[in-house]
Amino acid sequence: MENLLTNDQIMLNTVCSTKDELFDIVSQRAFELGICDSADGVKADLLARESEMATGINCGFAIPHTKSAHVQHPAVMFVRTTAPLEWETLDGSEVTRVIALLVPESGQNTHLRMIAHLASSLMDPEFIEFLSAEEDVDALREKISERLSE
Amino acid sequence: MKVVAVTACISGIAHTYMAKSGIENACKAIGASCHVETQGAMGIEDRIPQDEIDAADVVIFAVDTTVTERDRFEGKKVLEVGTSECVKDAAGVVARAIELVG
Repeated sequence: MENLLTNDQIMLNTVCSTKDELFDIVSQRAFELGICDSADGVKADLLARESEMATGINCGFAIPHTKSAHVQHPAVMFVRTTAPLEWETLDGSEVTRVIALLVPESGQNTHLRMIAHLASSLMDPEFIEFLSAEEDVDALREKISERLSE
Repeated sequence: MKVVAVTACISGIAHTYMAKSGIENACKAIGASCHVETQGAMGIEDRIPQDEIDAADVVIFAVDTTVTERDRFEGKKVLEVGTSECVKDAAGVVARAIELVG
């Protein structure tokens, strides 16, 4: 089973000041890791989805995502920023925790299902707390991977 | 109280499932039975059987797009909201749905 998440896809203490910069960082890393074939392309697709309906949720979290022709294989990326980002959220909080979900246009059901499980987990306050506080990247990777396959 | 719901967001990747989770937890908290069908990127999943729809007290559509096979719910009392509302305050949405049917 393909890995949706590697340690390189978890970026803590990320320095950026805007949502746009955050999308740059995510797209660039995705390109470097071979997750997408074009950083600009995937960034544009993330922005397009974002403009349809903002993906900020609660407790400083946002879940930008896209089903994109530029995405080569499904991937989850987790970013924590050092400064809060202005972002339209459900509870009015600023965003410091971003879970980006990148899915190929022809997304296979197995992977979509894994991502659906992870999305559901974001409604669990314990998981949100864990994602907000845990400093160890291995622990984060393990726990997020667990939630992908539950 | 028997609640059935359909969730469907724009991309069908995330909000569809968060809304489902929200509604399920909210119904559980108040002891209402609940069956949530998702209409996401994988198509219709956890399809609600017609007899359950017929027996339901109220229907919740947590959707940002059209409901597929909406005719199954004809004649039912429906509360229609966006998926985000269920992510933000599912308990509130379920309460409003129940209020609809007294």
